[in-house]
Amino acid sequence: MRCALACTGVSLLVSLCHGQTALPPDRTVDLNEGYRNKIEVTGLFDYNANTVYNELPLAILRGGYLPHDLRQRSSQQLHARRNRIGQVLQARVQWTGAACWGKQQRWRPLVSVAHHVQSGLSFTADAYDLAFFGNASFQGRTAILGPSGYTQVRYQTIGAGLTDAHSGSYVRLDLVRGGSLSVVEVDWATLFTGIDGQVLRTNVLGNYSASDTAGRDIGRHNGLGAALSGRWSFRIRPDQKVQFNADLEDLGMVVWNDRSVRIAKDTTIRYEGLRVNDLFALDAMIVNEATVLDTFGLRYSHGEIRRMLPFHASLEAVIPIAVRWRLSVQAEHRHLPGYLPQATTHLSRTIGQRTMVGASVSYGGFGGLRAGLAVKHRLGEHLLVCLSSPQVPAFLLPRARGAGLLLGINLGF
Amino acid sequence: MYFAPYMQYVGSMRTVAFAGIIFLLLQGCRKEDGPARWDVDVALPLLTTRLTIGDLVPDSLHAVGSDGTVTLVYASELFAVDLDTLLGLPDTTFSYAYAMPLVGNDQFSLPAGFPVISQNNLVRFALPQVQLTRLDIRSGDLHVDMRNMINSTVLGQFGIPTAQFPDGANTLSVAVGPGSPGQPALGTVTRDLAGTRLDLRGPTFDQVNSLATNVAANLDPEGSGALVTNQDSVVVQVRYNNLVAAYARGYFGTSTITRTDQESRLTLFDRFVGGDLDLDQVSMRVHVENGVGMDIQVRLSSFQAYNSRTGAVVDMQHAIMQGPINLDRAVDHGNGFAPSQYQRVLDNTNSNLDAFIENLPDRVRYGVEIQLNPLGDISNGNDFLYYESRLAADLEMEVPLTLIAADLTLEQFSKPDLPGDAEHPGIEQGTLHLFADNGFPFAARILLDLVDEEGNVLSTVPVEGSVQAGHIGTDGLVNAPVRSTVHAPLNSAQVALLYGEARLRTRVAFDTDPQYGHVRVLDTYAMDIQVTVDGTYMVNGQ
Repeated sequence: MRCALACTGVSLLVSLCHGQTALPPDRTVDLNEGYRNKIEVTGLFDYNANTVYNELPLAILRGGYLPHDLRQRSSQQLHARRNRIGQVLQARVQWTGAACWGKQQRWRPLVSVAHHVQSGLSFTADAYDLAFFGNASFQGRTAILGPSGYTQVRYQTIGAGLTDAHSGSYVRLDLVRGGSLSVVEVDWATLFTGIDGQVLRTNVLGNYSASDTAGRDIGRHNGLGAALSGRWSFRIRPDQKVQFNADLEDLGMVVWNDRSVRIAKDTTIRYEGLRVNDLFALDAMIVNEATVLDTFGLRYSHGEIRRMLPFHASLEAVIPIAVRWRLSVQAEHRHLPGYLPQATTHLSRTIGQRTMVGASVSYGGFGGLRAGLAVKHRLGEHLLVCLSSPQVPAFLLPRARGAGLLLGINLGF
Repeated sequence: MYFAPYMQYVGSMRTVAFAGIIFLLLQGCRKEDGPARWDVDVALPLLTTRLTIGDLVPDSLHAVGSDGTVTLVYASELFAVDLDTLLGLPDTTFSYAYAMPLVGNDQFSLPAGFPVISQNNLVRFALPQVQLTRLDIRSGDLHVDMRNMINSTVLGQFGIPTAQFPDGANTLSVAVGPGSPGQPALGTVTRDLAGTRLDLRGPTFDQVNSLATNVAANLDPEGSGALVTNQDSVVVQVRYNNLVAAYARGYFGTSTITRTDQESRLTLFDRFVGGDLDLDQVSMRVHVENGVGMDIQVRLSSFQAYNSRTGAVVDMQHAIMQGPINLDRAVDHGNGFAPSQYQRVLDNTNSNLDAFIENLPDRVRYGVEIQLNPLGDISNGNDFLYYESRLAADLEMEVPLTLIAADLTLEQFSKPDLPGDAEHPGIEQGTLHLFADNGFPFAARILLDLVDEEGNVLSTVPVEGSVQAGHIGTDGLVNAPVRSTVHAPLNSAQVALLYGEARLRTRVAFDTDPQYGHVRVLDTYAMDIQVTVDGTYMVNGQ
């Protein structure tokens, strides 16, 4: 499943486009604003982590046995708490039509269809070691498993709005189709393992909720909602050269249907083994999922879940610093566990009339310091291709952290 | 048309290079080795249980005294003689035939209503040695078949004057259409005899096994008569089928039922597969019940405790083996009976019963000779039996659990339900830990073997440690449990065997401390057990 998602994402990168380029707009390089129709296809994949090396998720993606030393290398890098991993996979097709509002020639209609898969994870070092090495090494002591959080959401949007072709400002209202949701919020959790495994004692304060567990395939419809997206671009300096972009994407909510499941635990569980009535009839003892759920009191309750989408907000300033050079500074946040506000500085330069290149340094988000490159190139007068990566070292060093790629194709006609 | 401007770039080197990079990325995603899997070392509690005397001996097989002492109580049927053996009633057929007394080609015209047959008969059931004067039927039926070769409808009647059907009647009627010598007509009538009483003394009430009957057949009075020849006849056939007696009276004869090499299962010690058991006291009641109204003499020709696992046989030595057991006849109350009883108690003062039991028999072998009416017809033909009458012998054993055990071994086979399969095992190796708080007055050694379907040992799991006996006070009773730990490491080869066809054979050998002699087992004794595992589990291994 993970491979299928990843391959799907990489495939999308080949073929999709997006209006949100990593490089600032440039009237020389970008398509002429005068085209009556514009189709933008974008594919975005962004993975990041602050402690776990890329080699681990890549190995998980490839499948097969994960060597002990590979797992150990990431373990040695972990912080006691607040280790973060997350990813965003997004594909969007957007059509922008000709102005049709009489005197308001700058405002043009847009229609957009998008697919989103986003996840974020925040975890402790003990939780990692428990998952990848087991609890045997914790005999006689307590593993700290919280605070931790995990959200994975998959949804599709279709929406319509208006865009100012001149400034890039837009507003769009989307109908949201919920595909799947998994949320774990652990405020506090510990696991004590007795010597020789005589006892497992866990204290948990947390909850888990998920969309209908009966089906999570990509075509599944498990919820419905709405979201608002928009950008406000404006220039404030007297000479109008510094541009500010305030972005908000997918601010909205999904109501997941009544087949959704939820469990909230504020409890201490002491487990010393399944209670057996007849030691001489062990073969007749039935240990199945139901037995385990009953033993640990993990039965779900069913009902609707209302949950906000993992919206994304950013504020960017684009400052021209020379004839062909621009500097942009951006602060952004994404509503996902483990995501910290991310700051990005971007330096770009146009080369000739058709090409712009740029380099970026960012810090925050799911990870730490990242160095990226971006390029966009206009092919003829009708086609603009942009390609960027927020973390170039990922392509060169197996032990880098984070990776990403954005591919956009703009077609004007 | 709109795509024409950029189609020119498709063939460029840059496009080809980019496509190549993407292809390599996609190749990197292929999961040729299946989903990611990794090994984790887990330490988990598996199960907890409390072992009581009720787990070792089912509740139905033990009793608890007021002082808490436990006594094994076991009852088993030794032998039984059923009704069929005592009184078999075979299916019996009687025929009544009538042919026209004409010579050569003579013909004779019979008028309508002419009586073709009108006979009174006395039939006798073939019951060797048995002389019944009365038989009440519990179940069975009577078939009357009539075959008619006369060219007229014949109306037949079969009557049993000394019988009484439940509805008060004693006659059956049957009508058969016209037939011919070449193509006789057939008619059948069946009567359920349940509840029927038969007087088998005949018309003069001085005979046995005899039944007075009459058969009649007339041409249909509503018909036109018939022209008959010497080929024409009427045959009536009467069959008594599947007769089961509800009550029988008479003289049942003198006969002997001999049964040799009989075996009766004894399940009391089925869980024990070896070792020695020394019991302080034992007793066994032999109980014989005679529900039949005749004198019976029983001789036990052999009585052995047979342990099929060891092949050991112990012969019972007791006076009961020397002479016959004389059983008085039951008493007939008219609508029921009172059986006679015989009981004899065997114990370790008048027999070798302790050795008999300590052999841990799973079978009791015996030979028996049962003589019916050994003194002849002393009841003057008043032997009786009811359907419920039985001749049966039972054993009732009582074994107070005051014992000395030496390697007394319990055996259990199990097939652990491990995660994954042989090709993709979820578990690689591990160590089982057993923690026991033993409140029983005997120590236990655990032996673990991996065996095949035939019980052949494939591998032995080394077991470190043993379960110590509870602490015994000066009164000979356990006053405090003792905690012990046992470890059993299973290597990867042994785990692989468990993923195959191998089963886990667990043997627990119990020993009492010789210095205490016979130790008493109380109902309150128990052993708290916890089993944990410390092993390597392969995540996604399956």
